Amino acid sequence: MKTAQHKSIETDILSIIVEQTTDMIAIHSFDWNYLYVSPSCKHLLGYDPEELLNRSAFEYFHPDDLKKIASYESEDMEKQKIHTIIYRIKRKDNGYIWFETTIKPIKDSRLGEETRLITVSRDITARRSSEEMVKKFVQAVESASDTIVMANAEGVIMYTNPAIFSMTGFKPPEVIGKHANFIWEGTMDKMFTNTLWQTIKEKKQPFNGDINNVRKDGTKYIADTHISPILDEKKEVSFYVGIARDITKAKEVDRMKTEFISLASHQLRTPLTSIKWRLEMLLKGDEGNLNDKQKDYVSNINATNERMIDLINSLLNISRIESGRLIIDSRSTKLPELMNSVLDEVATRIADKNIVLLKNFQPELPEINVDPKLIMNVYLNILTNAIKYTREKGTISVDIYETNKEIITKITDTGYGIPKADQDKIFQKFFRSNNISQIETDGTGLGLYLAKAIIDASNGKIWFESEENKGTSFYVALDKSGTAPKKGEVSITI
Amino acid sequence: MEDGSQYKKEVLVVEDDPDFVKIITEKLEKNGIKVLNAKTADESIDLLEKNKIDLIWLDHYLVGDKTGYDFVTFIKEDKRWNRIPIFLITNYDDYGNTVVQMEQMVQEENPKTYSEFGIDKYFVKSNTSLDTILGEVKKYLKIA
Repeated sequence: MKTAQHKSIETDILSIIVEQTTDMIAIHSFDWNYLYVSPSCKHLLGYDPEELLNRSAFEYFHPDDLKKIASYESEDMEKQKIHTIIYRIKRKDNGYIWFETTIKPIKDSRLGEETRLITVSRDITARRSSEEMVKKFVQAVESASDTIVMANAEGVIMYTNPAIFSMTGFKPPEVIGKHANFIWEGTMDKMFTNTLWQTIKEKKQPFNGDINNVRKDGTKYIADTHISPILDEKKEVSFYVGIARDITKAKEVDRMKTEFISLASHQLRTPLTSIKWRLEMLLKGDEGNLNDKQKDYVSNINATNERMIDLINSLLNISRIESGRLIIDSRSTKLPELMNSVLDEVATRIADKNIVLLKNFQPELPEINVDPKLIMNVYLNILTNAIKYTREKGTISVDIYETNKEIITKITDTGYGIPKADQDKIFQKFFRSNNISQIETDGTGLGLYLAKAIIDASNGKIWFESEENKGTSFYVALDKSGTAPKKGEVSITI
Repeated sequence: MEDGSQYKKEVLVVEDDPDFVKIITEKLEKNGIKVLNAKTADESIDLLEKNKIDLIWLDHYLVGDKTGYDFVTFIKEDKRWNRIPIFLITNYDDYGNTVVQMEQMVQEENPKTYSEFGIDKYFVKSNTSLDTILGEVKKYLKIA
């Protein structure tokens, strides 16, 4: 039995609750006139409670949301059924915010004879804009053309977007609940699968790779796949997101391109070989000796023919490098030895021009893991240029030395140099500076492009310093940690 | 079959380009080596059966239903001919050190190196002088 004092404390508490609650509590007449509004309408809507009394709530609803206010059937009234509506309501400053309002019709004699509505309203503007944002994200994911898969921490697929169907032939329901290996393992070997899970599960790092797989109808496809572990606050894996793109077509096109270039090169090489071998026989005197003039002409033709053969070789090398299919056959290499074998190869050309060769190789340089065939190609390209573009009796110096992290090869000549205006184009395909293309017609403009492509693929750097008519220095820096071997498909032609 | 007594050795040149056949024949015969030419795998086998071949000079593709790849495999499985040196002399790409299924230009699952496959020498025609090839041929034939 409550004493008067208890009742008074209770009333006080109830008043405090109603006055202090952040939600807006209101009592309306059946036709929505405000009969009472809690003070929180001030901070929510900007009105003092008195400003709202006896006004119809309809006045404050957004016109587009008016229909949301259901008219109550008398049955609902009888049962005092609770409704919840979400709508926009106008603030005193004429801006709109989103309200979520719970409406309960009651009949209580203390409030009068008619049915009243008790409403509790909450500002859900922030929540709503989050929801809108989330809706947009969902839309984006659902309509993406890439396949997007979410798997839980155990690797079971929880969600996938519709794009999975065109990639795999399976619809989302056929895939949800299965282990992600269903998509991510494909027809790859055990080692691949182990590496994949080790990366995302143990190392908790993203994984990128091409996965060979089979569709529902048995056709093969290749997917460019990225899988990221999503971590929680404790840095444990919460779930995985996998994004995959079908690259079968792209790979096929790439293969056709390479095949075409191979075939075309073969077709081009055939007549050039025929010319090469016959000229060789002519020059050797197989069918009688040539007079001096004849020898001169034939040598000229031979040199031109060799240029065409070189061009085709360069184009082939470039196509192999660009296709990313280049084998990198890394092995422990002594760079000075490599350089010496290249210098041997060009020794005659250096002697013919009376060029002075200075060598300065740091003693006891560490061996370095690189593909010797590739680096030889780079050295040969730079040296060939140095010889070609240096006048008679000039000087070429070759230095090999180590720094903290790298081994640097520097090739300096006292030749024509590279004009400032051309310096940013030197590594471009087919580019040859004007100052030398007039003097020295022999050159494809591919050597440095190829050299740079090789060095880029070898985890190294290549750059130069040059001054017109003074000379040029080319630098090749190779990281002491070496180049990782790459299991490719093709090698370059030297 | 001619009287080949002035020739010290016999080489089977499997090559269907008549121009190359002409050049190769001229060069080799000048150096005391008889050239027998076949254009297809079947012709090659026929010549192998009827002559004593000391070396096979093989171009990449063969006209007919067999390819260079098939042909080499076939030769290596036959006791009569699996010791004959084989030179692969072609203008197709050097696919590194491994043999490619030439007719498809694709790598096998476990590619063999040329020597594992049974090819003794590999030359890209346009990048090699005829004299260089001749030198190697003479070496393998053990003649001067």
